[in-house]
Amino acid sequence: MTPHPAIAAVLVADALSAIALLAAMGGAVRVAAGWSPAAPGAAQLALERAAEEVSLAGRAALVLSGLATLLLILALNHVLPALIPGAMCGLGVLEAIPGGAVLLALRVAALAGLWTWAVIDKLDRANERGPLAPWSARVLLAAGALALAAALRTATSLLETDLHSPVSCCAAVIDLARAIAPQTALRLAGPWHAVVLAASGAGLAAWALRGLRSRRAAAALLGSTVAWVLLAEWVLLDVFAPYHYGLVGHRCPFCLFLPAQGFAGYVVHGALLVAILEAGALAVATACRSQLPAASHRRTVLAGRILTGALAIHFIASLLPLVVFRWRTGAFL
Amino acid sequence: MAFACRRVVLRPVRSGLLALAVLTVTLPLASGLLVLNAVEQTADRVVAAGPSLVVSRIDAGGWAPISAESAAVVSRIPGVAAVRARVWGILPGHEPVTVIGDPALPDASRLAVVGPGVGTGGEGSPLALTALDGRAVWVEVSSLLPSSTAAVARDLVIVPEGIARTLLLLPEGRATDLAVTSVRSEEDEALVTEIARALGYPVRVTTRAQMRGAFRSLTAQRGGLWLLFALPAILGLALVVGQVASGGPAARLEAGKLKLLGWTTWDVARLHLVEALVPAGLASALGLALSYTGVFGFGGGPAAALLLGFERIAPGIGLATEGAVLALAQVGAVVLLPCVLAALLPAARLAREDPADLLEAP
Amino acid sequence: MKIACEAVQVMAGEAELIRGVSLSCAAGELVLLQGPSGSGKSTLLSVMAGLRRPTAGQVTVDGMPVSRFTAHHRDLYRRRVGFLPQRLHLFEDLSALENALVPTLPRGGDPEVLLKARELLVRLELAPVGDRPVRTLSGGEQQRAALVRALAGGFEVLLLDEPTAHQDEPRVALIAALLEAERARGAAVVVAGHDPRLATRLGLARRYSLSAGCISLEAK
Repeated sequence: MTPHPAIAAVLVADALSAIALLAAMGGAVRVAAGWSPAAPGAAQLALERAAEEVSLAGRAALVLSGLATLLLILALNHVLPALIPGAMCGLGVLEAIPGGAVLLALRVAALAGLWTWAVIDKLDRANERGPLAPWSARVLLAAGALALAAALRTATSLLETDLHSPVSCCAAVIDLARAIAPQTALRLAGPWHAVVLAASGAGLAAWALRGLRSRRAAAALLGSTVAWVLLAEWVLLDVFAPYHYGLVGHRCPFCLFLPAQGFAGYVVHGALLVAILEAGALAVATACRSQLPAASHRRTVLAGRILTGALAIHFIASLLPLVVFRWRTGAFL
Repeated sequence: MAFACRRVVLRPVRSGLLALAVLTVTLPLASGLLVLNAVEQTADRVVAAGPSLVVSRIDAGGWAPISAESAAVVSRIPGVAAVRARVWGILPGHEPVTVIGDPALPDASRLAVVGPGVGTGGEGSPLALTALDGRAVWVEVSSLLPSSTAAVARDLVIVPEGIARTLLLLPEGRATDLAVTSVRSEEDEALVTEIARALGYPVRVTTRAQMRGAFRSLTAQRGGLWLLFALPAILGLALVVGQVASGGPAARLEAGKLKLLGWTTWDVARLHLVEALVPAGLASALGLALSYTGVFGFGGGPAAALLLGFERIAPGIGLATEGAVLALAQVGAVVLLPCVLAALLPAARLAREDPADLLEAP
Repeated sequence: MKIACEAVQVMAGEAELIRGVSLSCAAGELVLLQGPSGSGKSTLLSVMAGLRRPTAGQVTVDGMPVSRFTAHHRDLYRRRVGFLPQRLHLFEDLSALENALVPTLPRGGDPEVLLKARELLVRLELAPVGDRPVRTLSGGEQQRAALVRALAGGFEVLLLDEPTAHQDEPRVALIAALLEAERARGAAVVVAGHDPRLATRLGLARRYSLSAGCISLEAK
């Protein structure tokens, strides 16, 4: 398939990210293997300078990878549906892309990995001795491998996209949701789920803002945030989405990205992504507390605030159409 | 920023060459993609203004005239709002024209409305059209369509329906195709099978989505090819930028001096980055502005001729400007992102050197 | 701010450039480091400026072991140090005034530094040539331009290598007065050089002598 310019932009951004990553990972290998803080030899001085290059190139790779992911989402939702028969939104496009859902999950995981590295790197650079440098390098090697795999998978999948066979688009999701709902407790999804969501979100935010003392608590917060995100996604599609679409039973997460829905998808799903990333940052910063108490404390406070903000933004953006509908009509759907 | 700009001014030849390289890549790339995007948007507008579905009869030889009574059959299908039998066709020749029969024009008037590309002596002049059987048919040009319609109406000749039938050898009761307007566009796909079933003979039914998709596939393919061809130029540009950003042998000493004075690696890298991006950014902006002017102010320009296969540059095709900003942003990204990385990596490599080594270097 | 060297040793391959050097300079003190050419004065100053890491021992600033810092933090430490190297390392395309402002540019510049740089240019008799590229200046003028760069930033630590090189008698007096003013401001000033004219004009807290990499404290 000759790449559409929007696809070419994704591939170019991914290629540049891969170049920056390879440059960073080359240095990271040396840092991970040979770091010896305060050693006077030329080798350690060279490693310290290499660590700086790793930091710079790694951050460039993170930015470019994030940009490529954003371009991909824009292409999925706004450019490619017109080319694929039957596709109305990004979901239809993903059906036409071989392993489309896996591709998206891989990219999000890669971004999360690079973000985790960026948090460790920033904490390490706040300290004059660089105590976390070898760990930072190892995390970058792992996250970088994941990001390179995601970029390669993106390129092969996009270039193998089937532009001719029609897809069922949202119908597939609607049918799946109808099939799942009777088997789970969530078949009774309704306003009470929204109340549970709000209450649990407030609890999560309070927990994050209070500050964590142990690595176990931080890991528990991260796990709780992931669970809350999954619950939020379900409540969004089952309770709030009807008010976005003006239609009951349309459980498509991608149609929220369309202009007809005011690009709400970017806000509600973006907030969930930020929540997961900052919960991870909070966990990492707590784990580094013993070596970098001051810097870790500052980062955990910041992560707690951003996490709270993200949860609030998601909830408000999800709830707003319901409130407007109720105010205008005096009824619920 | 001011320091970087000062350094750009102090090295006019280097900065000028970099700007020229960026402009040389940006201008044709942006022109091509802008033309294709504009064609796509214009086609969308035209398709949106047209019928929901077009029904043509086909037989073993390909296209065949469809009976005008078929319109009544199709109009009775639930979901169809209106049906119109159309008389139109292409008259081949040295300068082919597309003839459209307009039932609103009285046959006796022999008046014609012509597009900007049809050779005439102007309003009120006679125009000779050659029918499919070789006969000459004369009409009088009553008005000319404006040149901005050239994209869709360049070779159009709108004549009374009777004259169109004479030219196209279409007898009464026959039409070229049926233009169908649906009640809801979401039901167009469902109407395809309904129409085929109702008519009972082989037909080709083309929906608006298919027409739109055909244009998009074409522009997407050509856009992708255009980018592929531009790729070597972009790589070459990245090499030029990298070379400029690395700064040569004197750059190592300069980086050492800056680190001596408390500049960090990121400060030095940022300086080199800004120093490369100031001329590159300005040149890129100039290239984008020139391409926008060329495409929308001068009717497409050489890029349109190359991409759309014109034998000569089409005079002033008016194209829709929606989506132009996004297309320009795409080009800016495709050109500038490699420049950013090409500037950043050597600058970072230079900046991370130890100042003691840099200052003691020969 | 107090800068101190604690048993600093610097090796270059097998050769020992500096051996077990200890010295200190507190805020408001002016310390002179004397010694013949090749004794290791410039090497010691570069270690104190964080350009090199000692093979043994350490350099501390207010108790913080700056010589053990990673490269990034040693770059940041140098923002607090006004350094005049023996090879001046000026930017030849820029004027003396512009050179004086370069250290503050990453932080967006400082109008007070600009004012002080202009004053220093006047006091060091560089005002008429202050806006010309430094490559057009004489050796003595370039030396004074580099000194302006080291002094204009109001740094907490001043490390000056041969500040009176290529200067005549009246200008040595000018420079000595400026160094005294910096000391009075509260900077820790370390001057390395073998110009006897400077030693007689400065109110020294201590005078060190460096010979073949070994240091000794001379009586005042």
